[in-house]
Amino acid sequence: MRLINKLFLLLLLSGKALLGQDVQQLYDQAREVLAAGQYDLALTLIREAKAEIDRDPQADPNQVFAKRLLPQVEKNARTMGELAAALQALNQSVQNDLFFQDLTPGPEAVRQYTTQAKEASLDLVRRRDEIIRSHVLAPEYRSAVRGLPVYAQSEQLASVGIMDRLSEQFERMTTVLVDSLNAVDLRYRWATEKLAKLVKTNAANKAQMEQMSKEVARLSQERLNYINSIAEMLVGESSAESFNRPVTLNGNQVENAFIQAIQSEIARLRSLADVDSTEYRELAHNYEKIASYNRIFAKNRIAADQSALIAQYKAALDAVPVRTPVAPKAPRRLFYYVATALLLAILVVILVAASKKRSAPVPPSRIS
Amino acid sequence: MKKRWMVFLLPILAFCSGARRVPFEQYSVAMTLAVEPDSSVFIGTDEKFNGVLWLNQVFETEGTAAASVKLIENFGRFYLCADQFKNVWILQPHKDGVSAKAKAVDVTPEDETDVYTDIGLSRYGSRENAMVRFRFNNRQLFIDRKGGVHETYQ
Repeated sequence: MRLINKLFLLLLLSGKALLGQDVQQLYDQAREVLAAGQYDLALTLIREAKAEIDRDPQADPNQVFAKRLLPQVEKNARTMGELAAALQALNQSVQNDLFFQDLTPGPEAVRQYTTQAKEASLDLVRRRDEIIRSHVLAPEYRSAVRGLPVYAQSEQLASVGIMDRLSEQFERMTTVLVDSLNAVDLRYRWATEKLAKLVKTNAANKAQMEQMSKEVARLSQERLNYINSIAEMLVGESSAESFNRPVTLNGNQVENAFIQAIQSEIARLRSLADVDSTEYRELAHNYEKIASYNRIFAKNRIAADQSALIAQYKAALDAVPVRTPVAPKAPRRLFYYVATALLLAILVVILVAASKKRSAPVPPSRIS
Repeated sequence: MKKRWMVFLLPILAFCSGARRVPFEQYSVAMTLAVEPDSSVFIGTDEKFNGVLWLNQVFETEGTAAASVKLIENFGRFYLCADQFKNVWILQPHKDGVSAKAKAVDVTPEDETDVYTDIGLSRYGSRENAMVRFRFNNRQLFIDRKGGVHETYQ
């Protein structure tokens, strides 16, 4: 029994020592503490009440406590105790059985780990709820289950505990991912500079320029993917709103690459002549992702809050001209007028020619 | 002569009228009942209750309104008290089903100004002669079914 329960019981019994124990009060106390989830203390109080009845049967004139009321509370206290033990065993087995095998670091590994962790969490919650359903308690004691320390432990395990276990794997991947991010960032910068030189010196043909532009876009996307993977490790899933931190990143390993990524995206947006609506949607989607990464990194203190830079990014996005589809031009009316007039003229000519042919003078017939 | 026969016949007819006495032990464990804003208490819990008791007059007499009262039934009578009360109230339900006779019992007549604190009600004794054990101010007294107050169970 926990120390606080012992002290509570001592206090309770010492107060009754002068008058002897009251079965009714012991019963009331047992119900009260059981409703608060203290099933072991409830069982102790029930034992005291039974002992009091044994000592003085007149304390229970109709044996209603001994035969009906105390057994009911006792049964519920025992059920709650069994439930707590089952939940404890479940928590222990989940912790023992949880194993994340080593995967090659990368976005796919993050996805697999996160999926496995989510499934483990859902399975834990499902099994826990099954245990609770199978241990039937009287209505007045049901809410006490949620107050049990072992229930809170399973809640913690399902919400952050399992993800915490992932941090071991994520820590291992962190160095690799950050190194990869920095490498991609360097390649991106090199490609951007080379493209700028090509444009400036006009030293490449159109095909080469297009190929270089595609390479820059590909590297930009790859860099975003790495940032996304790191963000997912930080939040445990790809939602920016759930900040369960399974991994710790040190220093400004990510901050520099992140700032560089935002700046290069801003530069890219500013260099765009115009885009169609599909391309614009993609740019807006990238903006949303980077804005969410900023929230995640700032929340987890991985990078300083880049809100000012994000605002510039938004302004640059808003300034990108979007091509509106050109409606096919209507043929000029003049063309129709001329064509109609020409047709009419031809028709008139034909008609005049035909009428002349019909009215040609008939040669006079010779009268002999 | 005919009238004499009637004197004998009436009890016989009453016996044969179908009204029978069946065992019905009317008691309860102690209940702590919350007082509603209209000074009423539901005797029981939720859908399991067996009456509503209005305590306006009790509170007026006591000079205090309690947030909750303790109540116990013993042999069909209800015994009611609350912290800061000066009396234990014995309520005898009337046969009309809508009222009760309320009698205030000062269990400490030697001190008319004292109030009861740390109160507790329970039944004590034999099945046939259970009394209400009233605990207050680190004392206990026994109230029999006629309202008599005793220092010890008799």
